[in-house]
Amino acid sequence: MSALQHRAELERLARVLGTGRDRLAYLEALDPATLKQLRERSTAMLYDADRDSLQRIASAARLLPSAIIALIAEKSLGPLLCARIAGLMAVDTAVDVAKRLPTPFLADVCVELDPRRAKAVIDGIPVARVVEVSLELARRREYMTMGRFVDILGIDALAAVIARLPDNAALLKISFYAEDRARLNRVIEKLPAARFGGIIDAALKNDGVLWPEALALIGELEPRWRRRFGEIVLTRDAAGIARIIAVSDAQSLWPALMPLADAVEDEHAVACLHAALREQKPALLKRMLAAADTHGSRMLERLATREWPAALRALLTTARAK
Amino acid sequence: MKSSELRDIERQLGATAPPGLAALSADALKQLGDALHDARKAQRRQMAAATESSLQHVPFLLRGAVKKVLGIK
Repeated sequence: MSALQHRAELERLARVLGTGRDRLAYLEALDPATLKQLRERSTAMLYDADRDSLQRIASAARLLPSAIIALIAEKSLGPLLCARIAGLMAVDTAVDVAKRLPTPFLADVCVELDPRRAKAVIDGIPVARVVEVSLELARRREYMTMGRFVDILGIDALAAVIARLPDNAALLKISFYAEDRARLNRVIEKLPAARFGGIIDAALKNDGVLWPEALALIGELEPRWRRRFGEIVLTRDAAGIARIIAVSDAQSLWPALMPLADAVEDEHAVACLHAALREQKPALLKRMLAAADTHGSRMLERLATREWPAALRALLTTARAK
Repeated sequence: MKSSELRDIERQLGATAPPGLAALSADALKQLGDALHDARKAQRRQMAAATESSLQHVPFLLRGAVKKVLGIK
């Protein structure tokens, strides 16, 4: 996960500094925790640097009707300053102004906003509006922005967005950028059953380009959700499981796949995995067992009780003896 | 002892630098300091432009009061 976290943190920092990730190549050597600290301190610097001026603008807004403030916000202040000021305004006024702004402009503001600094305003925006803005952000592929809002929006608002956002690959990318990983468990509770398999399908498309993200996400979830995803993955037809094995092997993802397999309870899923692995070459099984050897595997113990061709049985016996 | 580049970053951040930054070369720290400076400068520039142009949309009768709150003469 750390490579993914590293990429996400570098992208978040680049956004705060108003530059591109490629312009921060000199920070590649930093660990994700340092990048996060740097981003948080940079954000505080930008919010605090012109705080007096920002507060004066927020105070001046009290003298004007919301319709005029909305006009000024859109025509003069622009999204960056609106994002900085949102948390300084009276909440009722800020919500009223937000309701009057066009959806594309609100989406621009969201891109610049640190949602934690304007939570009270965000909570006051009607869910229907949240959905509109979210769909606009998804249309722009602003998954990083949407990921930051996963930490802040109410669960019901998130469920409403998910219901209107059919793109499972987008959901995966958004979750990749969510900082509050534990909260994803609560979001997943609201996920309709069909979306679980859809997320796996989306992750495996295009030679499994999102498969590392999917495995990293599932690996961080509570055991009940790991089990659910694991059983969906391993009860596919033989060709489907063979493909998952091939994609995981090609990307050296056995250590990330193991927790998923280990969470499975369904004996049918164990049988399906066993049937697919029996058809694999010893070299592939060896790579899988190497990951199991490092991380330990409950699934390996269960697989070992089943019938295997002699060459594969020998490998299993050696691995378990270690 | 902290390098001058690291001290510059702390001055801009108004806070201690994350300890992990010590791993960066002087050149990388200099580039980071420049990036922080550019971000602040861009924000200041936008603020100055926005404050002036905002007044164009304020009804004439309220303009004086708004100017006063904004600290504009």
